[in-house]
Amino acid sequence: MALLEDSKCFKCHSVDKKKDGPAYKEVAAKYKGKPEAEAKLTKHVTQPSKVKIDGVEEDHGAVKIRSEARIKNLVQWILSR
Amino acid sequence: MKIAWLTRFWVTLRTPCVKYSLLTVGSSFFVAGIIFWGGFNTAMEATNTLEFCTGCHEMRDTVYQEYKKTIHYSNRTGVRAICSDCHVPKDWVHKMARKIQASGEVWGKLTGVIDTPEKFEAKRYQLASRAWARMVTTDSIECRNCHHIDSMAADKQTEKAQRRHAKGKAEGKTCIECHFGIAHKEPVGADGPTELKAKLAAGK
Repeated sequence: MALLEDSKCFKCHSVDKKKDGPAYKEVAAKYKGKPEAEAKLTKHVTQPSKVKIDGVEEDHGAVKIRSEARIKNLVQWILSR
Repeated sequence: MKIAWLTRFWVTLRTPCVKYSLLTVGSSFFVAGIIFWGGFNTAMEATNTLEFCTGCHEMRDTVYQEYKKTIHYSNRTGVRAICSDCHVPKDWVHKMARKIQASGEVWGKLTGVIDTPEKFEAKRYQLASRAWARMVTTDSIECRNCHHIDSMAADKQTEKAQRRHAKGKAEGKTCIECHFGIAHKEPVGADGPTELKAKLAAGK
């Protein structure tokens, strides 16, 4: 949670409520049972990418640390919602 | 016996004053009024301080610790928004209404409804949704105590923020609909501020 806060993820995402980005519960449901989930999500949170919000392409930020253990913890936390 | 005493008291109250001049009586009431009003406002202000709000462990050990990590507590310009800045409206009418409403929290304190971190966590969503419901009803008056959308210099905001604010304004959104869970941990629960606003509008 602290890493999500520090990386300002909650500006666009919520645990279970509607914001501009999908709620973490929706993300967990989308990836449920998919073996590639952890790898895909790790890439999404560590490498800058583009996302579409209201039809406009925007930069998706990346977490501000390089600790693999903390990133793994964050990804697993999202997938366990 | 009691009725006789009350009758005498009432008669005394209704008897014109012959000993003191109207000026003395009027001045006395004026001074007493100032003292009463000053005392009342001082007491109100005393209940608006950070020390008062964090005086009980229910707030100090939970939401206060979360708030200390946020920009409203510590920032580069040194302007701090304390509990009352976000939870108590500034204008007198709304402030009094909130204070009366908050007196119910004293009962909560006495009965210990959130006196352990576990009990607090169990009630977190309920407490947060009450604050959200209040804020969507008042058009986030607590945010607007300091932040005014018309005073914002859009060119000093990021492009993302500019787009979000324009969209929010066009859709008639109020601050709390997007800026929730920013000073305290966001609780898991069915409805966020937007859903609560829709339900309140529908009279549910």
